[in-house]
Amino acid sequence: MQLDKTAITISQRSGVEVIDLSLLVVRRYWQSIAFFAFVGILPFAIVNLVLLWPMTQYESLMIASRDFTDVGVYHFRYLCTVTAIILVQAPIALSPVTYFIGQAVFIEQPTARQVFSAVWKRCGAILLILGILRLSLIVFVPAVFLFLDPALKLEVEIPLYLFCLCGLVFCIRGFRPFAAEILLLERCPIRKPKNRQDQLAYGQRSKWLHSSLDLQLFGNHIGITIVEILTALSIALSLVFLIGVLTGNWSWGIWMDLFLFPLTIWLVAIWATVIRFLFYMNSRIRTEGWEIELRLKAEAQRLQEVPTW
Amino acid sequence: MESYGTRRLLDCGLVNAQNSIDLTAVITTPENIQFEYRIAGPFRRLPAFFLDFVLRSVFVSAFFILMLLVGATAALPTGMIFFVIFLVSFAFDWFYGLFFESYWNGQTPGKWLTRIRVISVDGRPINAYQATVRNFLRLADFAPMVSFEVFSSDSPPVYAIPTFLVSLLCMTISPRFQRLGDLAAGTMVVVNQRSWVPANIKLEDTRVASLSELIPPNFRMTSTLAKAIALYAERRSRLSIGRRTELASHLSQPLLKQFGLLRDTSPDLLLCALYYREFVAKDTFSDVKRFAPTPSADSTNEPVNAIASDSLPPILKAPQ
Repeated sequence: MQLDKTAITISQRSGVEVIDLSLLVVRRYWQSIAFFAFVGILPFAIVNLVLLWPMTQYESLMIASRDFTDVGVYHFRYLCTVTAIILVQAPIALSPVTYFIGQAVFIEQPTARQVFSAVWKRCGAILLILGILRLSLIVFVPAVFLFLDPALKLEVEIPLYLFCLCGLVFCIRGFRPFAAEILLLERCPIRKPKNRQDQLAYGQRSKWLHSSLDLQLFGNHIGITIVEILTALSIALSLVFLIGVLTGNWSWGIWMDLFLFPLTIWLVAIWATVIRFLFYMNSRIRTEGWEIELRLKAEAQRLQEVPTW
Repeated sequence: MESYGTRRLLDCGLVNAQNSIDLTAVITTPENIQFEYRIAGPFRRLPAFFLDFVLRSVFVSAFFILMLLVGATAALPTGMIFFVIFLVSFAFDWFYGLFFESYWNGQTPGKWLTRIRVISVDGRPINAYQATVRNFLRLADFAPMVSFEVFSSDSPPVYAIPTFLVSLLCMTISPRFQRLGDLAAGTMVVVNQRSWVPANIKLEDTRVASLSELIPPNFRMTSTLAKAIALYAERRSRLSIGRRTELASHLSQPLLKQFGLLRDTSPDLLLCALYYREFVAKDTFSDVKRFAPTPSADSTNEPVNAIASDSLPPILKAPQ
């Protein structure tokens, strides 16, 4: 591995430049990203579909309910629920994509086996940090409630629960966005190993990487969220247009609800993973002089191979 | 072997000489002179678009109010007032970008505020024809337009909601982040870069100069090593002392071994000494040699850094 020969030029960039650069990264690696995203997302998408499908029976829900007699309320509830659930699940589902891009930066094209084996090795830490502490798996709880009884008188409680969950996740990700990168790419253990004092534990590493950039990271997070919302709207409305052209039905139908809208959110989540990785690189460059480290390490390697005098 | 994606990026110019993805495009003139431009992507261009939109809206609204006032005082027919308003807003919407980009060197007020500029793909300023084409195709970049029926089936089928997806896809796929209008006009949007000023590197440690003398005179830096050390010297002031040591030790360990210096030599100090020797003292030596009288037999053994340091300009001078 030539440490100073990277697939993405390692240099300090502004926020908008990072987002623009993410488009180029997606363009170069779109096939691999699509493959790893598909494999990671598939189980989550199937479970979500099964659990949330009863919520799309708007007519029967409206008949069963005494409080809400407008289909639009149930429709809106479904869209909010599916968006919230996918966005919370995204980091864990897209772990293979995170690992792949991390390797691809160093012009190492890992095979599918290598990617999945690397993710599998960190499975425990991923489940604990991303799944439990960052709520990616906890988010299934309200979905299960809604599956068991979609007409449950929880029109207020469930959305409120999901709203709080999303708010919490938004804040956690705003101030500590690079958990997946620390776990998968830096392979930091949950606890500091006794035999290796130089190895940082996940918590220490996260604190070190994030604490000096707190407000800047949160500002970036808000900016990225706005961009992602606008992009998701653009894709979703374009899909409605496409369906209109193909079928002559210009309204937001059941296909849109069950398949195309979740697909839109997943697409934006995949793109967000690439953006997050590029921001991770940028943060390391800013706080740790990462590009200097890569260059100095590469020069050290060269010096050991061929003395210059 | 280059992948298809890499070839496409090389064609586009959005990869640099090391074949890595970057936001720069290199343009070679017929005289074989290369210019490097920082390309503005869709999200860099978005604020400029909104600023121009706001400016246009403010102007049209102000004109609308003015016309209403004029109409009320001069008792003009309502139809005529609205016709004039429509005419002016149409002209302003369609000719705003054209006018400014043609006469203001590829910039509109929004682009000027966000420091971006439209240029031809061959690096020349755009002409009126290019400005016309790229601005008249702006509507195509709004596509697909969606009807209000999406939100309610009772709404009229008016396709007035722009999604900009065509523009986003086109910019992602096309060379140099070009939208449809740019492709048709042969233009691209670049960032107005400020001229680069070399960093003002101050080596505050007085031991740097003396350590640089201990480096074997026959040690020659490769260009990549020199760049790495210059980058370290430029950025070290923004890093913590611990991080400096950690970074510098990657390179200092093999170097100390090669130079035969003490192993407990500060890694940071060694890299600073290398920087001083390569970029500060070397220049000074050449100046001193050029202007100094021929050394006498007595003066040959004097420490050269004393002479060198005194003749340095204030910025480059290492404190003694």
